[in-house]
Amino acid sequence: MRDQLSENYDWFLAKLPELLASYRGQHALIHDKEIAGIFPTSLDAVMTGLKRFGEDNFSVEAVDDQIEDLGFYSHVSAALRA
Amino acid sequence: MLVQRCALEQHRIIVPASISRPILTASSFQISPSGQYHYRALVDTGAQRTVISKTAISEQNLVRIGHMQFAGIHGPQTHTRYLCGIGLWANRIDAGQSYYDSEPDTRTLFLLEEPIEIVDMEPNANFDLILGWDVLKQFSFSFDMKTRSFELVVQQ
Repeated sequence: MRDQLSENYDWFLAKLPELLASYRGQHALIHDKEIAGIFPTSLDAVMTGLKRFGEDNFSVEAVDDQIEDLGFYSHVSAALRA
Repeated sequence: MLVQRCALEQHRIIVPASISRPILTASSFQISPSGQYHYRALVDTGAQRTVISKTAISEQNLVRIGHMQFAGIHGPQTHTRYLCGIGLWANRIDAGQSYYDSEPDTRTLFLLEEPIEIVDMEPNANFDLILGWDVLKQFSFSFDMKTRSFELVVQQ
């Protein structure tokens, strides 16, 4: 059975193009595949999520289409898994 | 002044660090040390964000908060994001004292005030976490070519 975070993330990716138009650079608090709030910082969104829904019952995703570079890990993660 | 200094280890910089689960208070997060656990942290100035092994994440029961996409060698990869308290072990050096005069067994744990958001990685035998710029930007650090040692000033 899939958990709330995974289901929320699939829903978020489908909605991302729409969200980018209005909320680029902000952070979406998601609960039960619905936006529960938009916040300027991720930490604000996490704090609100923990208070309102409790751990593992929400997720916070960045409304952004940038892909980060994790340096060493970006380049050798496949080798570390081997 | 709190200073962490180490020699290169197989051409890598590895420093002792602490990982802990942030505690939510009424208006902020509280970061507390988690016992005397020392984790091996690879310093990577090429990483935008800190990465922690799934083993350490599980040991410290970190809070899952979402996902993140990062560049991988075969294209973008999605990993889970967690909230984490980070601390660095360092020696206290008094004014006029050199690092080498400080007692090696009097290490102090310096905890970052704010939690950071990290992503998970597969465990490996060499290190438990990779310190990226989200942590490194909070300190001064340098590499001494003559002594082949790395120095990170944790607190002035």
